[in-house]
Amino acid sequence: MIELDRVSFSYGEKRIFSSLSLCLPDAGQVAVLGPSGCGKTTLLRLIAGLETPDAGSIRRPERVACCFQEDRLLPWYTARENVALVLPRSARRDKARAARLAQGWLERVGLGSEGDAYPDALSGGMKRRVALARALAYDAPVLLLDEPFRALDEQTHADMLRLARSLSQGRLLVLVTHDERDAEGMEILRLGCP
Amino acid sequence: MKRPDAIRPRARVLLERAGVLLLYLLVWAIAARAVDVPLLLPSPAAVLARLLSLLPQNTFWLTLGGTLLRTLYAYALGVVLAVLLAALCCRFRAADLLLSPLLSAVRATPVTSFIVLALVWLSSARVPVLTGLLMTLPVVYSAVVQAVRAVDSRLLEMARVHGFGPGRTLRHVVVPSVLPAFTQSCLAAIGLCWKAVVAAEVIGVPKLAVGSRLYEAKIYLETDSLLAWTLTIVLLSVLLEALLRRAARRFAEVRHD
Repeated sequence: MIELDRVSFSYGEKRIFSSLSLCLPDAGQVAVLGPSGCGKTTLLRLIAGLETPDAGSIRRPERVACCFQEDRLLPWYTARENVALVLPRSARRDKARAARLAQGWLERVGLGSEGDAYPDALSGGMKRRVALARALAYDAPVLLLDEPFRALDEQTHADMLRLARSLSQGRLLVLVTHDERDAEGMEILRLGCP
Repeated sequence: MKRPDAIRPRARVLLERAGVLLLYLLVWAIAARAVDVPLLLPSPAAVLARLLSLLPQNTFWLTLGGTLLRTLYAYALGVVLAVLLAALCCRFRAADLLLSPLLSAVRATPVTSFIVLALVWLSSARVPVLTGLLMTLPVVYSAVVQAVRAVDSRLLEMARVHGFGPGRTLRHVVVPSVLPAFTQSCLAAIGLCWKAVVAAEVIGVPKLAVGSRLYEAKIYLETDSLLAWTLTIVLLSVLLEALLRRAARRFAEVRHD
């Protein structure tokens, strides 16, 4: 379970959250909606542990996977290596097993034939798929998606979102989005302007 | 017969370079003939003849070996020290505050000042090594520090979120990010190191050193010897840089394999 207790956070003079409290369940799918600048990404960064609150506390699982707005793939590694890097230590010890597991995740996102490709050789949509495969391979109980498919065309965006939702069954999926249509069938957390 | 534009680009580049070299040799030969005083400017043929006469001598190879060893020793020490200091400065702000002005001063100080000062403190055989080291160190150090500071913070965040830890972040994110700048700085530093070592040898005159032979050639007014040794230095420097470039390329290929 993720629990924010009276969390306050500011970027310099700009206050983003003031005594925000909320609880997210262990599993399920939550869409965070709200206008630009209301702190959707900041909320995800706080949950991911990338920001420290000015006041209040955050309780979260030790491992939290995140798919950022950009793909953030390591350009010097192949798609398979990028995914294999985040596998648990026990899986990484055996290189052949790690490669097999990473390949499995790539196949699940429809990129089975691109395991040996470097990010430079992949299209924008393919890179997003690799980033999603990496986040899923991290084997964390929480998956945070910060509008990772925003730059893609409408059809690919919808396909990717469907894929992310189906592959994250049994975990808590938190999706930040501008688009109400993305939130269909999900619990909604609406943030207002501070 | 192949048309000129069908010649492979690499062969064309080599031909162009050979053409430029021939042109300069021609200009040199014309200038030598116009001056007509071999003591001031010997002809390319006279310099080549002198060089060919040096080649069978054991002392020629021992002298070259001595300078080469000093250069490689100074270069290796400089690179290792630069990386260690850069790591220290990137990790600890106090180290950065202490070392950055010092290394800026080293970079701005004329190489001859170091040589003269080092001759007061050290034996003439060690001065070239210290001088080469001091020329290599700031070049590699600055490149590594700047590259570490320019590592993409988004990749560092990705590593942090996915639990990489300091060791794995260094290995998988920082080192590959820094490697291109590090390689370039190493390639730039080898030429500087080589020149600094020879300059220190000219002033310190140690045994078995190209710089000492240059100094003697100047004292005895053997301009053809002076140019023959200079030509040797240039050729060896180019060879050394080419070898290093090749090694860097091979290393990059192996990493990708």
